[in-house]
Amino acid sequence: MKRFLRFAAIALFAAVGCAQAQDLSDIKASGVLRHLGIPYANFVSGNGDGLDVEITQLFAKHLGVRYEYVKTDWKDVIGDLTGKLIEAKPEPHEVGSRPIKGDLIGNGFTMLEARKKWVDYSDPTFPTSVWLVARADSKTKPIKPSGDKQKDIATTKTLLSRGSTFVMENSCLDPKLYDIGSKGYQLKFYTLSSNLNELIPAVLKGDADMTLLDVPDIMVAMQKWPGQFKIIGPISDDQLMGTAFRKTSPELRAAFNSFLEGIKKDGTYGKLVKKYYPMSPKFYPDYFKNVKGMGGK
Amino acid sequence: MVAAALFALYATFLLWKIYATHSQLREDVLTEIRLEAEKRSEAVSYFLSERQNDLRDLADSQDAANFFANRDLGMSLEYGLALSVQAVEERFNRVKGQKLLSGQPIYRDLAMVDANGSLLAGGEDAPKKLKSFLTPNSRAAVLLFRPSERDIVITAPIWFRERYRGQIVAWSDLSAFQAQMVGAKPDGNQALVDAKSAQPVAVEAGSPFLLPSLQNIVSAMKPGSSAFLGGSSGVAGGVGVIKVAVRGSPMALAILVTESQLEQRSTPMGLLMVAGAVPLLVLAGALVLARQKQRHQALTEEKGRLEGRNTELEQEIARRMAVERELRQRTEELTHAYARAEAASHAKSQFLANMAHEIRTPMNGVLGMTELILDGELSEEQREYARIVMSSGQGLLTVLNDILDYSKIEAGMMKVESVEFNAREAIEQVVALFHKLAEGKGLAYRLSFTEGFPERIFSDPTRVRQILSNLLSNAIKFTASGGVSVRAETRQRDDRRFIAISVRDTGIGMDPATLAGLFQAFNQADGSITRKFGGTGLGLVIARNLCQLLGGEISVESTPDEGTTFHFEIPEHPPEAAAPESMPEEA
Repeated sequence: MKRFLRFAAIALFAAVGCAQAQDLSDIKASGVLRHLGIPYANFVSGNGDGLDVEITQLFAKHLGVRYEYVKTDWKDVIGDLTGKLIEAKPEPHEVGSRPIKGDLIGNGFTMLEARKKWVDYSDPTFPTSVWLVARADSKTKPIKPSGDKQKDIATTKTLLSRGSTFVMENSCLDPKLYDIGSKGYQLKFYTLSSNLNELIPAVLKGDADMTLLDVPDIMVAMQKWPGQFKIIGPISDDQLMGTAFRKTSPELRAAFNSFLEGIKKDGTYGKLVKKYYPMSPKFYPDYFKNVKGMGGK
Repeated sequence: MVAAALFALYATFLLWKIYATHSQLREDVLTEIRLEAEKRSEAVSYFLSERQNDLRDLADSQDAANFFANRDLGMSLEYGLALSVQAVEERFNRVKGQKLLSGQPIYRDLAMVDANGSLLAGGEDAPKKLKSFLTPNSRAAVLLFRPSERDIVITAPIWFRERYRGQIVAWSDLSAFQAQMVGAKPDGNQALVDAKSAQPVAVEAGSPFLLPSLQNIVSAMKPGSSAFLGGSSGVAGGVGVIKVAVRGSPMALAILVTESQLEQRSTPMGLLMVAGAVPLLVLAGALVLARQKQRHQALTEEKGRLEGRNTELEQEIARRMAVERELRQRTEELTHAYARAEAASHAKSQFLANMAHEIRTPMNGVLGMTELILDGELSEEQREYARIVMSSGQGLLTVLNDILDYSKIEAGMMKVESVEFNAREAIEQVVALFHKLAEGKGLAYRLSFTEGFPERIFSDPTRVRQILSNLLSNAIKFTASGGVSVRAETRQRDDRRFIAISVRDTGIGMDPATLAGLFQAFNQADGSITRKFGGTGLGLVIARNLCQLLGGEISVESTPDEGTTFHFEIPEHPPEAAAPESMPEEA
């Protein structure tokens, strides 16, 4: 009887879209952990697997609740988590409430300052950067590394003037993040979908000359379209990705951090990274040098 | 046995044949070893060829191509090209993990090197100088045996977009390679050697392949040939050496053939000796079997005989049991018949006793009256008639008394007394009774007592008189001339005293046949005696029975026509006599 009443209360709250705090105890009581995911590189394949999918599935098992995948997109993902209706322009701001659809965002979600206003991040789950990528036949040539990342970033940014470049708002490819928005560059906002996986094919098709792209996506694309595109240089500093939580779910976040530390120590995390991003230790040696289960590379 | 002997002969013949071909086999063994070596060499060649294929595949792989494509695009290691390097190294790792020989990785290391000899990917254990492995003028993978470094290097050129880009190089430990190729535990008699110089690739110290003398022989040999070693080879126990080329490499397989190897591979002497023992064992086995069979047969026969005897015994037992049953039955019948006869006899005796008593009573009356008549006034003729009546009556009475006594005895009703009386007096009285009779027949008549004859004994005086009377009556009756004498004495037997009385006559005597049936009832000597002498034939039976009742016995000796002597003895004291009753003296 008690259990029924509890379920009825939850259903009621969900029905009226009440933005009540749903923290760890509520999740445990409800028996389900809802994972907000957007198909993206090897983090969320869209077919039920991916690095973030498997980490979140293990987390649900760790909590002793059922795992549920909730598909969303870059535009709605924060709203689906927080229950806040957010207007993006001129600056992202809350205009109302909406139903909460998920309990965490695990999506190769770059830890951007702008996002930290709305969500709290877990400890880092993966390293990343944003680079400029061009078609192989493009006249724009890759930069010669100077040994100074900031110099390399500045050099790469100047090459934006060589052609059109895909960017994507409200994502890690948002030009505002890298101060290239109002520089007169030919930026094309990709709106056909929020799927970053589609940017390279679009460039290869000739819809733009270049695109910003995060490194994890680039790792995947290099295997899919070898020799068909080239990396010009970095647009961003090294960034970190993490799992995002409501600001009202501190216990859930703390539980996730504890869980993440555990799987990093016991080698589970390393095995998952090796499965989905085997090249990553080569690319981010500092980040992965002490990660167990990666074969020591 | 015959079969075993034939087999033994045949086996011996075979052994001789084997021994005879032993030498030929040695030659054949060398050939066999060489063929085996060639097979192994082929396996080695194939193995090396596969290694070259591995390297060619790596050189032609997409990952290698992607790397050079991305490099051509100008990508730097810091920004993107490292991903291509990673892909190549991942491929190297897969190859290392997959290519195994007896569970051990074949490749110690793999590296991708550019056209200048600079390391591009892999090669963690690679030497610093890699230029020596470049083969820009070749498209084929090459094998390099490096005994000094104890490894084999396989190197394949990378051609991308029709330009030579570099090399894929692989290193493999030579000793591990050799151990796998020539055996996990090499017996020291095989080695991988340089085909030209015969230098062994990797052998242990003390190996015969290090001997310059052997190396000279091997280096001079053509691949695929064998040679016998003489004493100058310096190889102890070495008989020959075989050299087989490893196709596709500058190496050869050298195999040393020793005496023990030849013996092992051909028919070893030990085996011959053991095989020689086999026919003997078979013979011995056949002998044992034959003996067993014989014993078994004998046992079977004995068993049969015993079973037959058993059957006979069983039959005999059955027969005897049947006889027993019949005997029991007949005994039962006889017992019944005897009981019936006894009963009948008893009844008869009872009847006789009754009848005798019934008859005696009026008879006594008749005799009494007759006596009274004789006391009266009678004429001589009347007196004569009365005397005859008296005599007849007395005779009849005697017969009746006999019958009565016998009947009593038969019926078990005869009782004897045990009283103290004067035996001497009783005997004298009985003897005196017959004195007149004996005198009347002109017979001598005498009575004698031995010294120590007791005056008084414990017995039945009436019956003692009766016995003596009977014997005296018979003695006088059956004696026509001569005399009758009575002798009374005492006898001691064990701790008992007896009185023994003998009545001797010189009468007609009896033959042994007559003596045998003397004491049987109704049995006078023969019918003529009865007619001549009268009598019922019961007297002696009664006398014997009375003797026995008194605890004594009666016996007789007789000679026909010479006379007869009756003896009877009775104990002075009966055996169970407690306090014998004393009888007063009687007249």
